[in-house]
Parts: sequence; structure tokens; C-alpha cells
Amino acid sequence: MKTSARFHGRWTPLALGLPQLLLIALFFYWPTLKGLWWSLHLVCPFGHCSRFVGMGNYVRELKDASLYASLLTTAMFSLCGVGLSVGVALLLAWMVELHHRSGKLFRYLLIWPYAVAGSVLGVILRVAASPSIGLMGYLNTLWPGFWQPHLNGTQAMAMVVFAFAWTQIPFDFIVLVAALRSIPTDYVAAAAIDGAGPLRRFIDIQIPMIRPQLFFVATINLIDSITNSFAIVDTMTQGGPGGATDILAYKIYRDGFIGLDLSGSSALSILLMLLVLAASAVQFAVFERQAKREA
Amino acid sequence: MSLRAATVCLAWLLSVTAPAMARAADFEFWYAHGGLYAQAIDELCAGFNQGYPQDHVHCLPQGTYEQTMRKAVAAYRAGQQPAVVEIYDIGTADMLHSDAIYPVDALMHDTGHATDDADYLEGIRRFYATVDGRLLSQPFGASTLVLYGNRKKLAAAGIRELPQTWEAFGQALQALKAHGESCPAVADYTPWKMLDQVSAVQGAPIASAHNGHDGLAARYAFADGIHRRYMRDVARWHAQGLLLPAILTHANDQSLAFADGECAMAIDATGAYAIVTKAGIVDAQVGPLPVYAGTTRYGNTIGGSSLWVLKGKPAAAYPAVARFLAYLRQPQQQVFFSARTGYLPLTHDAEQQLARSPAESDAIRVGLASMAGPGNPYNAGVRLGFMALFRVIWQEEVQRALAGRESMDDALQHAQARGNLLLERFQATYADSREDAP
Repeated sequence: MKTSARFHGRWTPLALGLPQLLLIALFFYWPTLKGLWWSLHLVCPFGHCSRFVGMGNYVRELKDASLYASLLTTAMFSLCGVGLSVGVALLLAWMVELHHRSGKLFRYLLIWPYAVAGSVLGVILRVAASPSIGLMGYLNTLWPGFWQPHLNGTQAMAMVVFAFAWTQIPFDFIVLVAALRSIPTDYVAAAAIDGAGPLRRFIDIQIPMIRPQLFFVATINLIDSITNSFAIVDTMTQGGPGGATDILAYKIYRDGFIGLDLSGSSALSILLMLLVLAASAVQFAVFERQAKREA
Repeated sequence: MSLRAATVCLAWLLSVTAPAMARAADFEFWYAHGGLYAQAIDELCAGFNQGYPQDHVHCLPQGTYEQTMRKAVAAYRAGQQPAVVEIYDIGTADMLHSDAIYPVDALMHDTGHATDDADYLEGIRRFYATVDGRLLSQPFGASTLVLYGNRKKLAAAGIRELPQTWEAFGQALQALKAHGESCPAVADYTPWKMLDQVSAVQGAPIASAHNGHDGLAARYAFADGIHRRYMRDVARWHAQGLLLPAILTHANDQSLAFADGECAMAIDATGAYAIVTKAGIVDAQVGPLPVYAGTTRYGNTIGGSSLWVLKGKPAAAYPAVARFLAYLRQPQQQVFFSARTGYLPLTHDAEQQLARSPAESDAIRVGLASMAGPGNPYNAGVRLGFMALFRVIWQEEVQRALAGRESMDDALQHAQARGNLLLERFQATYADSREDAP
């Protein structure tokens, strides 16, 4: 039996792949090259002057304390955000699988939030989290001065982490539900006959068996948290208060688009790209090892 | 589609597009306002299109000041720029050095419009003038900071008149608080108000080289002068709950929090008066921005925007652009815009015309009077590079100080040091272009 379909000749496969290749070239390779070029120059916003400075922009950014503050913030944001979204998604998936009849309804309900754009969610949560008029403002009537996300960096960070997790949970949930359903029922049933309760079965059988999927969603979330979360920060905190939520993606956006610092922001983008490449490389390496072990 | 329908369609298309093609000059004007302000601008544009049938201006809103500037940069790089664009005050340094502009004074001269820059109010002219006194853009939306007071609340707390000094302001805050006001005063803690305006009216330097008006070598120098004294007071007022951040008010907005009667005082732009009167809830009293007791009061400066003409459009467009700018400069258009928005009139004749009309608000009258004070080298605003980024830095450091994570003195020192790195880079970026381009 033939297991893989192959196109014959050299041109057909290329022609079929061309639209995608063109898109990637136009929206990824070209901007990346341009960014690389800008990062090696001091460029004027209107483009009439540019001076080659070699690694000058990188050296300057790497000497800037705000880069390290931003990296630390990004790490905090990513770890908390990924942990919260994977954890909650896993819990929800497990609970949905426990009860088959109601589970079907909840499966649909829990996927819905995936359709809400990050910026829309940011605006909604910004109002909800307002210390004067929002839901959270109620806390201030109980304990005056408790909820101050405009001053308290930890609270502001909690706010954006919550928003980020909200955007990621539906996707994680879909993947994890599918993963849980793919576990042969024999294993779970056998454990149940041996007297293992739902929690014991979950910890000892289900979680170990869906480890690859868990790793997959964690990686996807991680990359999203690094590269794709600026809409949330932009609508909720603009990096504040006092830089407490100034994640790298937002810093790049702000330096480049508001500050018109094309050179510095390009240098940061390239650094960020290297960071994401490293994260992806680790992911691939782990997957590879896992595949070998299973083979 | 039947043949007849197609013919009708074609005829309609021709009738719509033919006059457009026949017009001598079509051009675009990108502006950076919404709501009430956008309506007024659209009416100005409609008035121009009606009065000058051979020209046609397309007035297109582009979002905030930041977005408009960003879009203008991208459009220019792509060769799709508008002929006229409204750029905020802090973009002035970028525009001056951009090599992308057709200087307005040269344009007016080339197209035979006699203009005299001395017509502009001195505070406005100096804000935009180059070292050699040229105006390369046309001032448009200008406002200045004044002090608003809720007459009823102040009287209830025993305050007869609006404080003229910061000392009196502090005492008034205490009195209002003691009288049970939950919000004695509201502020949005933005640098335009707390740094630029408060320093200008004291004639205190923000940066060397005349706040950057003299060229790219300027460096920040605000961290140990009047600004530090003021920010120490601000930190104290903040800690005591006397000067509330706008986010803690029910309105979530500085101007609205005063307009809805929640806060007894606000330090806000003249333009906020339009909001206060439109709400019609409070009896507002307007006074000039306070100064410290025993110091000289200088004429205050402005903030806002000016109109820049971009290069690279067909030659036929520029005479029309010049007519449009001349039209906007007519006193009656300025008075109309000012009455509708609360922005200041720009020229002496418009000022006089407005003073005679019932449309002049207290805020504008007080604002203009506060600008008429004596001048010194530091009361004409700032002309510095990467200002948008510097304002983010200032806010970041001040927020840290207000949250108690560093002292206000340290915060200002850090903001100054970080700001100077930006200025060094701005200077290096434009090192090859002439100091006072073009």
C-alpha cells in the first residue's frame, strides 16, 4: 500500500506551494530583511537619511536597563500566563470528560471565547478592572485602597495575565479535550475497576498519556505570549504602571510605532526573533526525542 | 445585467468622476481629531470646497495624533502622502528635519499669498518658529492650561477666589478635603501639563539650548529646578488623596470628572471648557495656572498641532493647498473653530474679533491673558527629538514614585538621564542633515 502521496515532476509541487511561499516572502522574509537592515543603521523616520552604525543599535539596546526589566517582565508574564491557561484548560477538559452528557454542551460553550479578539477583551476587562467604576472597584468599597492597578504593578500584571489566559484557554481546551478522548477507554476503565477514583486516574493515567499535547499547547502559548500579546497590554495598561507590564512585544511596538525609533525597535525585533527561534528549537528537540523514544 | 442597466451605470460613473477629473486641484488633508472637533473641521472643509469651486480638499480623519504621525510617515515612505497633514507639537522636531516638507512660508511666498508671521500671537509664533524666526508649518489647534474651579464647592469650603499660587492651591485642597470633598482636585498626571506647562509659566528650563529651539545639541535639565519642587508637592497631594488620578473618579476622565461635578478643581486645557459648558452641570470658574509665591509669572506656552505641507505632490496641487491654508487662517474661520472647540484663536485679528463676540469663553479669555505675560528663553515650549518616547519615560518614572517604589527626586533624575540618551540618539540620527533644515 502506498502510504504517502507524491507529486511528480519538479514544477507541480512548486506551483502548488507558490501562493504560500509568496505570502511568507512578502510578510515575513522581506520585513525581516528590512528590519535587519534598519537595525544596523540609524534611520530617519521619513527615510531620507540613514547612517550605518554596525552593531551600535544592538550594543545600545543591550546596555539599556529597560531591556532587562522588560525581559524580566516578559518572563513573568509568559510563565504565569502559560501556567494559568494550560492549568485551567486542563482542569476544564478533565471536568468536561467526567460527565459525558453535559460535557457536550460545555465543550461548545467553552470554545466560544476563542472568537473574541485580544483588543476587544482588553477593553472589556479594562472597564471591569477599573478601580472606580469596575467590578473590581467593589473591592475598594470593602477595603479602601486595596485594588489599585494604576499604581500597583503586581495587580496590573495579574490583570494582563488573566486576560492573556482568557484568550488562550479555548484553544488549549480543544486540544486537551481531543487528547483526553484519544486515550483508550480500556486504561481508564481498568483503573476504575482497580478502585482508582477520578482524581487518581487523572493524575496517574490521563496526564502522563497526554504529555505531548500538554507540551504542545504550552509551547504555542509561550510563543503567543512573547510575540502576540501586545493588543492586550495596549488596551489595558500601555505597559504601566511604572513599566510593570512593559513586555518586550509592547516595548517594540511603542518604540517603533509611537516613538518612531525605527532603528532601536528593529534591533529589539531581531533579538526577539532570536528568542522565539531558540524557544522553537527547544520545542523541536524535545519533540524529536519524544518521537524517537516512542518509536 | 442588461445592456441598458450597464449603460446607465456607465453614464452615472462618468457623471460622478468626470467633474472630479476636470477639477484643477484635488488634495488630501489628514487631521487627527474625532467627535466634536472632527465635525468642526469637516465644516471648515465643506466651507472651503463651496467657496473655492476650482479646488477640492478631501479631509480625512486619521485617529489620534500619534496614529496620524505614524500614518504620515508610512504614507510618505510609500509615496502616498497627503498634501497637508496635522502633526502634534511634539512631532515638530521630526518634521523640521524630515526633508519631506514644503515649508509653509516658502509655499505662501511662491504662490503669492502675502503673509506676515507677526500676525500670530507671540506665544504661538515662538512655539513653532525656527532659530531664524521662520514658520515652516501653519499653527492650527492650540490650547493652553488653565485652572478650573467649581464655584459652589469652593465657596462652601470658604474659598473666595481661585488660587493664584501653588501654595494657595495646596491650602485650598486641604480646605476642600476638610470640608468633606472626596475629590478636591483631579489630574491625569501627563507630562504636557505637569512638566511643559508648569515649567513654561515659571520660565524654568526643561532642556538646554532654549529647550531645544536652538538645535540638536539640547539636553534635558529639569530634574532639580521648579519642576522638582512642583512634583514633590504633587507627590504629597497624591499621597494625601488631595489630587486624584482621573482613573479613580467615576468619570474615568479628567475633564469629565470636573464637568460632572465630582471634583472641585481641575488643571486642564482651555478646550475642556467646551465639555464643561456642554454638560452644563457645574458653575465653572476659570483662572490662570498657579505659580509659586514670590516667583515671576511668565507668559504661558501652548500645546496642540500645526499643519505641515508635504513634498512630492503634483505642482498643480500646491496653489490650491496655499489657498486652503490662507482660508483656514482667515479670522472668521479661526473664530468659528475656536467657538466650537475651545481651541485658541491664532492671530491678533482673530483674537480681537473673538473678544468682541459672545462666543468667547472664560477659558479662552483667561488662557489668552495668561499667554500675554512677559517672555524669557524658556517659556516657548520645547523642541526636542523622540518626545513621544520621553513622555512615556517621564510617566513611567513618576508612576513609580507615586507608587512609592522610588523617591520623586530619583524618578526625575532617572527620567532626565534616560531622556538624554534619547536626545543623543536623535542628534546622531540627524547628524548629517543640516542643523536648521531645510
